[in-house]
Amino acid sequence: MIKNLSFSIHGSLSLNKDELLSNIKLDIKLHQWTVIIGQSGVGKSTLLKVIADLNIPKNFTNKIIKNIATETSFSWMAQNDLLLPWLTVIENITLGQKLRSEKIDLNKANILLEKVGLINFAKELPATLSGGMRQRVALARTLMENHDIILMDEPFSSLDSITRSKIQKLTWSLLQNKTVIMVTHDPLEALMLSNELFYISNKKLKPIKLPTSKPLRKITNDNLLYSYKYILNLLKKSYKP
Amino acid sequence: MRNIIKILISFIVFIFSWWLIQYLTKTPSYILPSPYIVFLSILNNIELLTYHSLITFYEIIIGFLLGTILGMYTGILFIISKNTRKWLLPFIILTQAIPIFAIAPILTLWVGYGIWSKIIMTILIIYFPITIAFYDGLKRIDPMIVNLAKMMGASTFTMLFKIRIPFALPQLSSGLKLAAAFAPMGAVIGEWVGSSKGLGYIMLYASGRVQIDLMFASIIILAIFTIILYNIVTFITNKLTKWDPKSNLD
Repeated sequence: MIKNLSFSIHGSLSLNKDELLSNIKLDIKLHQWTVIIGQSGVGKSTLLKVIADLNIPKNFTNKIIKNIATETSFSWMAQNDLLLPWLTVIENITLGQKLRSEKIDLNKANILLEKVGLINFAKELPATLSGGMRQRVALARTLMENHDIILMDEPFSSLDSITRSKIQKLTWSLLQNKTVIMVTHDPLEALMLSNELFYISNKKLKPIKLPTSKPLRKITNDNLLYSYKYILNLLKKSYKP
Repeated sequence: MRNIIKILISFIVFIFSWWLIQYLTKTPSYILPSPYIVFLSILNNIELLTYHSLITFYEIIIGFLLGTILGMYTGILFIISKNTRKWLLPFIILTQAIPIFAIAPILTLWVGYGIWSKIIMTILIIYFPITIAFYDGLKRIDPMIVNLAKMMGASTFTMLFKIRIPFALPQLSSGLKLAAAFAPMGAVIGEWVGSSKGLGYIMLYASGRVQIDLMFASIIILAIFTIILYNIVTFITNKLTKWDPKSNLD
């Protein structure tokens, strides 16, 4: 477990010798949701992989330095739920323990399934579930692992708008006290869920001032509509076709 | 049960078509014997055919099992060692460019007239489809699943056996089905080139003595065994890949 109150990253990231992110600096506060917004292809997902020490494609040059304890553990939630199709829902949730040859904690897994509303589907295979249900299983798996930092790579973008709204609220309610770094290209989602919001523009990572209200903000509020338009304008200015 | 009925219906249609062609064309039985004559030949030579069939079946099954193990082992080597893949894969592809009929006499010369030259022929014929299918399955896995497993603390061993291999089973199944259909060919080619036992030997023996009914009897027995082997392999692979809807289409 990391003991500091925050961790930071700084440096540059290039793709085929062209800089995608130039001398960026990002301070991540623990137990908060930090959201990074930007268009597709600006290096958001690769930045997450760099933070988690995952393999990135060879045509990327990574010069990002992380100021973070080496024993820090990460969880990953992606657009694709990454469920193993040959395992049942409960087996997917307890996959980490199985891979580490630990004792399987079925009690905790069942409690989490109850929380995400899928207790009756414990023995089902992922192929029999809808997209929203699969993403809820992925959420339960993330909670089961209970790692220091949760990285989310556009986790709700493949869902329809009604399911997305429900899963966003559920995810927030279950992970609100966790350290989450999420990348998205949806200004509305970014605005709703973030404690700290950054956008990528002209190779730089810039903070966006958020309304004073707490996350899970309702978008009907006039101020939020104004903020939403403001973010959209920022993104439009940095848009390069 | 439904599958068995389908196979039986196909078999009856095949026998009827065969009989009809023979009856309508009035082909002499020393060129195309009727199904009834072949059936009688099986009954009359039941001991001879059983003895030689068991030898061929033994060669096929041992060759199939060893070829499967060797092919899977090579597929795993290709995934875990880039150098092995780089050096061995072109060589394996090159061996496929050489006709199997050209290798058979050399194998008989090297290994002898016993069953091992036939088992090796069977291994050679199924090794390539199994290796390539399994390797293809192992490498097709979503890299993010591999990353996720790494984040969960998977070791190289657990990554291979609990993530990569189960993920590759649908592709391996395709390779195994191909192998089940090709394996008898390998054993029989080996027997044709040099043997005094097995169904391939009986085919040559019967052909030399114009016992066409006995030759057809050997072919029918080999075909039935191939169908049985294919269906056993399909049954097992369907059980192993029941989670994959694409592998279990009707």
